[in-house]
Amino acid sequence: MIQQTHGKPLALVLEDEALIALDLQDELHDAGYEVAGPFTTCSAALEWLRTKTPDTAILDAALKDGLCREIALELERREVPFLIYSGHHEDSELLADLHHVPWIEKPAPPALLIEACQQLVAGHP
Amino acid sequence: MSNDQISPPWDECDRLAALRSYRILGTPPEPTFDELVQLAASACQAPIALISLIDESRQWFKAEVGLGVHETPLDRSICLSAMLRPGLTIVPDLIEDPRFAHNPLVAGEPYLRFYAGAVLETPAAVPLGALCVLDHVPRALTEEQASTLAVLARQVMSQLELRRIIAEQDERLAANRQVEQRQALLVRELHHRVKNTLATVQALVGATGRSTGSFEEFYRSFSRRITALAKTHNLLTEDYWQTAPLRQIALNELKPFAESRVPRFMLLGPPLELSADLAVPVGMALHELTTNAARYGALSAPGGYVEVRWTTSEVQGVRKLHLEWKECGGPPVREPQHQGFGSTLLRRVLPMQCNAQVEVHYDREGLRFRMDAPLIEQRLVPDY
Repeated sequence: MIQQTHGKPLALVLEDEALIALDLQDELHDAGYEVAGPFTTCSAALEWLRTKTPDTAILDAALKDGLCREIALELERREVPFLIYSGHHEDSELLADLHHVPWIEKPAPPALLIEACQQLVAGHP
Repeated sequence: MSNDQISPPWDECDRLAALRSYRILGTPPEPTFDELVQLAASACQAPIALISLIDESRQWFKAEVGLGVHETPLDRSICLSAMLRPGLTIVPDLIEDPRFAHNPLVAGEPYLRFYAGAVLETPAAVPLGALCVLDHVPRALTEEQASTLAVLARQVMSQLELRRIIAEQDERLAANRQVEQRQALLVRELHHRVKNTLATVQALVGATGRSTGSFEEFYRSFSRRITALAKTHNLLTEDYWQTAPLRQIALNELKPFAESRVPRFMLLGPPLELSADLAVPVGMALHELTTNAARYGALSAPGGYVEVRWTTSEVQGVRKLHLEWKECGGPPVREPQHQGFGSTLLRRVLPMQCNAQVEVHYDREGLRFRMDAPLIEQRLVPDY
């Protein structure tokens, strides 16, 4: 069920720090992904999700327009595996209902994020 | 009766302030005060007893028995007279006293005839009102009743004092709690920002790495970017990491060129505080522009000159920043072959991070950069 674009898996990036977002985008490109976004607001990501579905996603937990909960739930509903990349502790009360989701604390080496994405995409039935 | 009036050591303004400091006016009935008036009524064998506080234009009863109202206008107040005299005021027959004979409560319902009131006064001898008993028939108080009334009045004052101390303590606690909350907010904000800043630095490593050819070049560019970032953060720290002045952000970068005998740059714009969300990317942009100007542009040749102008405007309630960087007098400019980090920052990071509209023009006579961005004015940590 991979939404391939030119044979490449599609990764959604939701991150409001532009430098981080663009670096993620470059790293994902280098690793053979197409990137949806980067989106800096939940509303922009949700708008995109109205018509498309990614193969995986990297979500910042707290965006300028709120928490990424709604997007996370929508991805779960569509069985899209994703991870959260956040400056917040995993055990913060921020997204208590999303603790089963892989949670990578900022900052993390790009290689680790890419590897986590690979595993998510590969592990998905 | 009027010849014994001496002017009191307080004025009405102080008296009202003292009364307000007890935070009692308008509060609901409380058993402690209700019991004290009941005690006053039964000790004096009077049908009516009141704790009357003299407010600006009314007397208000913290507790009462037998009267059935919680306040009356001041022109009906007998306590007002009692309050102005030390100790106990006893009026055996109100109808016989010209001060009260025409009082509507005496001349009409409920036909009051007897009054005895003990002044309620603060430790600083400022009168607030009276504890009084009233009756429908003319009479007197026994010595014991009179002294009981005086004791009960002091009890009322003790209760009021206690109340004030507790209220003041509560207010102090609330203020402390506010400070604590503010501190917790700051710590959380700092923690989040530090983590985000580290992630930004890491992204800078990646971006700088991708746009440089050698380690030496990487190291030089990267270190300078970190320094520029640090300088903006210095400015932000002075305001609890909330805002930084735009002029100072620009000066941070251009200061090395201020030493020259001929002016090399000009900063033209009103005082403007940028929120952290805008200050950091704008600081980085000005760093990239300055670095570029020093290497290839107007600041690389003796006669070159940079003009930085900014204005603000307000359209439909949204304040906007217009910032322009204009070089002249440098070597002829050509569109660069290679899109380096600087151009990524101007063309991609600024639009994304600040919702900015950005233009970069490689005019032959000098590079021109312009950005329009909404000013974000929300503070996460309140200003003092």
